Amino acid sequence: MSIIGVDENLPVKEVHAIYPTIDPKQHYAAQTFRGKVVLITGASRGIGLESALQYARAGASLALASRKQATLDESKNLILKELPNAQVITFVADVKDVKHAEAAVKGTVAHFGKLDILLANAGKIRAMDKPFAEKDPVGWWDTLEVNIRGVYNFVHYAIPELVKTKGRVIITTSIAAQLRVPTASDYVISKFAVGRLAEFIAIEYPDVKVFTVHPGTVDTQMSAEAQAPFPPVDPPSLPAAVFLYLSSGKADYLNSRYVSATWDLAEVEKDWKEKIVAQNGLVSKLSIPA
Amino acid sequence: MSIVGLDEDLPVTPRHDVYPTIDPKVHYDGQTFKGKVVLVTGASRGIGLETALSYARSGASLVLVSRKQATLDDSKNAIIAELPKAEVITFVADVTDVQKSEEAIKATIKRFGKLDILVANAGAARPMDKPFASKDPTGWWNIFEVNVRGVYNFVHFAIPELLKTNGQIVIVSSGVAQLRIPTASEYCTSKFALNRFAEFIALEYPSLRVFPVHPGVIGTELNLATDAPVPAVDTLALPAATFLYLTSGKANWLSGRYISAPWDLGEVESVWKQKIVAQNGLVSKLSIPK
Repeated sequence: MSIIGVDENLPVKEVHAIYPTIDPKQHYAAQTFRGKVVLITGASRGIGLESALQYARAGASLALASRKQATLDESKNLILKELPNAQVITFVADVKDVKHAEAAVKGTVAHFGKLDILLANAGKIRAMDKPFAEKDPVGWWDTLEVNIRGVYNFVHYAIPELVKTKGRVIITTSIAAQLRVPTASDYVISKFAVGRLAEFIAIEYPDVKVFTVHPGTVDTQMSAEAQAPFPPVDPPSLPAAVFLYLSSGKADYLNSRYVSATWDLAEVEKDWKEKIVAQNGLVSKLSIPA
Repeated sequence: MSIVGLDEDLPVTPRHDVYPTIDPKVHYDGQTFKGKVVLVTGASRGIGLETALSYARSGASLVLVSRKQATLDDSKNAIIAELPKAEVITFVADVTDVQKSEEAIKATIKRFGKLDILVANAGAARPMDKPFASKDPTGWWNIFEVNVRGVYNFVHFAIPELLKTNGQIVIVSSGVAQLRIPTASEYCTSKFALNRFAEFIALEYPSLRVFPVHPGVIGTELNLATDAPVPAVDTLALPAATFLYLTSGKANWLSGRYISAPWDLGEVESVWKQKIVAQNGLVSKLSIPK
């Protein structure tokens, strides 16, 4: 079955493993993120945890936010076991909860004095099994609450801090944002919408850089629950490395835009950067026929 | 100041009031919607009330939904005063309430035995005055609750009934779906999301027609409360007549696509239809540079 939207993609080489341009080893060696404070939601497992590890290896101080203290403790211990000098704090937070978001951001700043990078990574997906009217309407909305509101809440409180540090927001999106996959309306719409939210962050807060990143198809607990018909072919180290790459300021021409971790980003810069900037590409637009 | 997205529009003759292609007189005289049951949310004033009146003049039975019985009674009385034989019931519901939405559909079936057309019109907007992080984060999400969840709830429960009648859905969207208006992130992004939801309704329920429609810029209470810097140049009759035109079966090819009431729809059909269908136009796509 041909899914509408698969053509809404850059025709560049696909990658499924670390490659030189984004290799995090350069950041580990240079301690690129020493002195930087990174707050990650959905940090207790999957892409969030791998990202925390990579930022920590590159010198960053970490604030991990997730729903359960037990899993947060495991994640923190994992980081400290590898990097005994790493600075890591944790916050129990449900991203949908405005107060939790406020406490996590303010707590991060209270402890570390500032915030440089927000990785709004926590997400939710439902099983892709039935047309939407046959499923629970509350569950449909819950996907949007986690994936849109959950991102918004943390962005809302992070922004005043990020303006001070000329910081960055990275949002874990999905290629699903472009794909009209039947039975996945809630997930698709939520990721579609955060792409537009990113444009607004960039417009209203030009001192803050923002990127929405498709992480690839990664084998995580969340993707397993989704029973999605897409085999996981990308390791979590791939999106994590791309987050570091984008955080390092090497691709600010992608500010406010959709980026896929599975694109060869060297090729994107070499062959597409000029056109992307000139034509305001990699954002969604109403398609007006030629 | 140039707003990003103004160019995402069909270059057709702009209309600000009823014009021959959509003149509702043909439906009033022909009683086009006699025997049809139409449910309108946000029916107590503005576009919703004008829409209800127009369908009633065309012979339809009406279900008016809004939050206050008193204003619903005023609306019902306005319809009956003009059309003493009209069949009109009212139902108090906040569209964000899942249970009330379900009850509204059940009440419709109980009274009229079926549902043919859902006009998901209820909407909300905040004043467009400050960047989003300076305002109340709960208020930001509330706009999504009304504009997206409120539409979803009614669509969710209406669909099983609409499937029985090969029914139709009109969603009152907005041209701001394409516009990145600073200080209006919640309103713009909520309407942006709705257009993708319309695509999913058409995709998962192909026997139904669904039309997300920008009604024009009209001096309604909602519009005036936003203090938007856009002059209100369109009449209430424009969108109401456009909804009748679309649901009369004359533009089924537009189902699932964004439609703007200020477009001359006769010109859209004669000059643009072929290209829109061939290129899957009037839906939002990730912009890939040429």
